[in-house]
Formats: sequence, C-alpha cells, structure tokens
Amino acid sequence: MAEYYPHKRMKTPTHLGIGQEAISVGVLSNKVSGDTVFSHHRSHNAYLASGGDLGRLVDELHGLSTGCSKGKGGSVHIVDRNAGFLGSSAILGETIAIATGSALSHKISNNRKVAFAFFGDASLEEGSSWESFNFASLYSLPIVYVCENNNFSTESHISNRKKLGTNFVDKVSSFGIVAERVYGQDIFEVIVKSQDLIRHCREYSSPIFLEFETRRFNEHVGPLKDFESDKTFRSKQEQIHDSLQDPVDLLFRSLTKAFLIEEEVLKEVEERLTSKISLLFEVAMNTGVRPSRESLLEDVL
Amino acid sequence: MSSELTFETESVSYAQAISRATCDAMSMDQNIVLMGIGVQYPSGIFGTTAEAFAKFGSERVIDVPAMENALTGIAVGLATGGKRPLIVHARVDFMALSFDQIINVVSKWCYMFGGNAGKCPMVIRALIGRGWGQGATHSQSFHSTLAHFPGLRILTPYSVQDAYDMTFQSALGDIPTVIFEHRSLYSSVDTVEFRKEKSPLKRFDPIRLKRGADVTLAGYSFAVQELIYVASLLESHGVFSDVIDLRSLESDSMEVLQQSLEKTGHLVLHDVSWSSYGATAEILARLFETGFSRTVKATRLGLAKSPAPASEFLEPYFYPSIKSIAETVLKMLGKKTSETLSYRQESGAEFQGPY
Repeated sequence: MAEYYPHKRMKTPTHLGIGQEAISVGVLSNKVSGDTVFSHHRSHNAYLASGGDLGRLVDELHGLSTGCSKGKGGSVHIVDRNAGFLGSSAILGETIAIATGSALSHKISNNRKVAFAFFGDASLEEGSSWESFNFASLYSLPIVYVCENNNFSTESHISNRKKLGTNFVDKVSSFGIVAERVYGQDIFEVIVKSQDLIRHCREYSSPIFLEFETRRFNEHVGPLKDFESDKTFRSKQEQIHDSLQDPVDLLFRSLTKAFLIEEEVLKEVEERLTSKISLLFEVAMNTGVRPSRESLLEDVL
Repeated sequence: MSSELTFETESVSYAQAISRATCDAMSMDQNIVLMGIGVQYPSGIFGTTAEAFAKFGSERVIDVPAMENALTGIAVGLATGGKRPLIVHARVDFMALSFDQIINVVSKWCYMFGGNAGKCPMVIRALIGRGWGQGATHSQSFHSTLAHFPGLRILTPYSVQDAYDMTFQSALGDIPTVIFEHRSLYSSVDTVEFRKEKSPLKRFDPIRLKRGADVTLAGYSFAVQELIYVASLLESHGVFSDVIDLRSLESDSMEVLQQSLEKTGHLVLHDVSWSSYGATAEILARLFETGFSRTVKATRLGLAKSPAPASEFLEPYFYPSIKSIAETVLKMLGKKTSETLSYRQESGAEFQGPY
C-alpha cells in the first residue's frame, strides 16, 4: 500500500499499521463466527485479521463503488460484516463505546460471543473510553479491549500526554477489569498471553483489557517514515531501532530457527502474496468502477 | 377488505401517551431496549418509563451511569447487533455531552459505510425544560442544531396524539431519530387514538389546527400551544388566525404554509428556542425560495438573545408572553394594540418546580 500510495490514486488519509500487525492477527486468532470487531482509524490490520476482503479494501481506498463502503468511507470508515468486522471510525474513543454496545447486545442475546475493540493509546485520553470501561465492568460485558500502545499520538510522544509513572493497566484494573500489558511485536507472545484471558471473557462474560507495547513504523498518516516526511519528532536512529522489531521478521526468524519452515518456502509465499496484492492495486487503478453521481445521495437515511 | 381501521381511543396526558407508545412498541418488537439515567426510578422520567420498567424489567429497561457520550455509542453498538435502542435524556442539555456520537457516528453510520454496515435504528428522547428558575443549562433545545446534519430525523411533538405516534413509529422505524419533548406539555390531556401502525416512513408534515383569514401563526412544540392561546385572545379583537403546528424538522413540505399565506399574507413564526440560525429561519428561507403570488409579511419570535436567566424577575422578559405575541400580531396587521388587551399571563407553563 505504501508503495502504491505515491501514484496518488488513493486520495484518502491512510494510517498504515505496519509494525503493529502481530496484535490484530494474534488477538483475533481467538475470534469465532459471530464475534464482532471494531477498530480505530489505523483500521486495516484489524479488518484484514478479522478476515475482511482485501480487494474491497483496496477498492475503497481508490474511492470505487466496489469498495467495502462503496467509496464513501475511505481508509478510516471500513466494514466487512461477513467477517464480523462491523466498523471503524476516525474520532478517538468512538468505537470503544460502540464495541461496548455490541458486547451488551451479545450479553442480552446470551449468545456466548464477544466484542473486540481495537484502539490506540491516545483513545485513553478521551472521557467516553472511561465511561465505557465503567459500564462494561458494571454490567459485566463480554468485551476484549485491545490497546495498541505505539507511544505516539499523531506526532506527540506519550510522555507529553500521560504522567510519568502512571500506567493504563493500573488505571483500568481499578475498574475491576482484568488488565495485562504484553509485548506486541512477537505474535507467539500475543497469542499465548491473550488466549486464556479471552476464553475467560467468553466463559464468564467479563471484560478484559490488553495493552500491547508496539511500534508504528510509518508516519502518523501517509506512506513515509517520519524522518522522510520531515517530521522530526522521531529520529532516523530511533526508527531504525524500532524496525528491528518487525513482527513479520520476528515471526519468519522464529519459524526458520525452529526448522518449522524453510527460508525458501517463506520467500516463495511472500512473492506469491506480493504479486496477488499488486494485481488488486493495478485492477483498482486501471479498471475500477467509479461510483455514479446518483449514489451520492443514497443511504443518507 | 375494508379500509376503515378502528383504533382504541382514550383520554391521556402527553406523558402517558409517550409511556403508552413505548410499551406498545416494546411489546411489538422484542429488540427494543430502553436506556437512560433514571429509567428505573419510581418516578421514571416524569412517568414516561415507569410502566415500561414494570412491564419489561431490567433486561430491557436499563438504568445507566452518567455517560451520555458512551451511552450513545453503546446504542450504536446495540443497533449493529439487531437491537433497537431507545435512549432518554431527562434534560436535553445533558445530550450536549453526546454530540460527538450523534453528529459523527449516528447521523453518518448508514452513509459512511455505503449502507454496508447496516442502518442505525435508534431513538433519542430529550426533554426541553422551561421556567421556574431552571436557568441557562436546564431550559434550552437543540432541535435546530441537530437538524443541520443530514442523516437524522428531528421531531418536535406538540399534540398528545403526536407524542404517541412519533414515539411509537420511531421506535419501530429504522432511521435514527431525535424526539424533543417539551416538559411544559407533559400534563396536557387529549383523546388519543392508539394507532399501532408500523409505518416508519410516514413523514410528519405541518398541519393546520385552527382556521382564520387574517394571519398565519406557525410554530414548534410548546410554541404551538402559546399560538393557540394567542389566536383565541385575538378572536375577541376581531382577528382570525390560521394556526399551524410545524411538527418536525424533517418535512420539506411547504404546502400547508403556502396555502395559508396565499390567503392571509401575514406570517408569525414562533419557536421554543432562539430564532437566529434556527428552524424558523429555515422555514422562511424555503418560503422565499418557493415564492408567492402576493406580498407576504413575516416575523419570527423565540427566546431573547441571551442564555436563560434563573431569576423569576427576568424570566418574563426572556420568554415571549401571550401578550407580547398578541401585540406582535396586531402590530404586523397595522392594528392598534389595545391597552385593554385581556390575556392570561401564561398558558400551560404554570409548572411549579422543582423538576
């Protein structure tokens, strides 16, 4: 996506989740049919890890009528109900409340399903997030709160926004919600640490909170690295250090080290996927179906 | 098949009509969930939710902490699960805390996912307060504010029948709807037909409540009641008015108003909020765009251009009185305002607090 962005055909502010993939993939490996997923603006990871249709996402970014939101949502408002991914939104904290409502719906229906809410650390600066935690705790709702803490809100470091020495896990725990902090770059760690808690959430209809320590590889919005786009808040040095913690590299290294798979095979898989994805972008750019003028006023009410 | 439908009728108050509509809708659709601060209290939002709580219990009538914004988001989440949330704000002012969810999510949910995230069936009831020292933050309304945003239905029931119909139909409908109820109308009583028709797309267009050839008086919510009093008062002074209940901010039908104005040529618009950039400004703009075969004079009434004062000595200057409305009409018609203009000081707003 970052490679195709410079073609300037995707005219929608896009918040890439490169570096944070292990969280969605690991957490949502616990998802069963009927579970529901909501995400923040950095939405692609949770969408894809839910099983959301890649082609329709690519089309959405290109503003096409075949997009998952018919070209009306853009990168931050995406949906694939077949995959249980019910929506994402651009304003911080909104989907924390919405996912909490989805969990209430599960509880009322007594269906043993859970709701997943994905959000960034800055969402925990919004009041309605804490209103939601209080409510989920009070009514013992089956919800998994997933905080992807990449230490940055747009360009500001978390130390500018949170008192040193305080932490989210303590704060959320004080609501009576089981909360844990996990290293989010190692997918095996994500899976191992999350599966028991999520089982508990489902079994006892009880909210849980997982804070994942993670790294955002790109600028806040757009395809570049911070230093490339002349945003100086994170040095080149720091970013190189961060990129050593690439969850995909870590996974590949673990797999080859344990002799579970050969490097050649991984390379082949990567190439096959890359050409498949490239094709989706080429098709969207060259033969995509544009939304009609009439569709502008459809679905308002 | 006979087209004549008969409905159960009964004389009930505005508050009872809302309560009855809530229970009727909840009986018809098991997915309706009623939520808000105080919905389980014995007083039940001035008697509008107590019956539902007694009938449906805490599974479907859910009291919540003070959390207006999250509550509205939770309602969206419920809607994605096939539920039909009906949420209540005992004071409309508290709804301001939920404007993020209402404006950025509820009104846009259907559109911004191209319909693929489904509709967002939801009703928000909000009560407008007035008088008895409630002051700046307990006596305003946001109907014009929210009508600005595409994607919402905004309803302002005046009649007891509308209080029933609007609540009932919205609760069963698929479009996110905000109903502004006026606290000063809560005790007004009328005979209501309990029309249990599931016709969610029925638009609430303006209707004429009184007929007269001299002037057209039109308004929203409690303002309609004041206009009816004014019309009666003016009759004894030889002035006859068309009184029109504008009913909602969803209607773009100007027909009733146009017909009336072709006859009277004089229009007084009245609202329970400030007139600037408000619903009555929209009505004037639409009429202007429509055009007339005759000259029409128009003026707008509403709250004085200040926040609501608490003092009982200032309130009479803040709210237009029956006398001041009547004088406005007479002045517009070029008639001398009678020194002896007899009037009842207030008209149904005699509520003695505290809320």
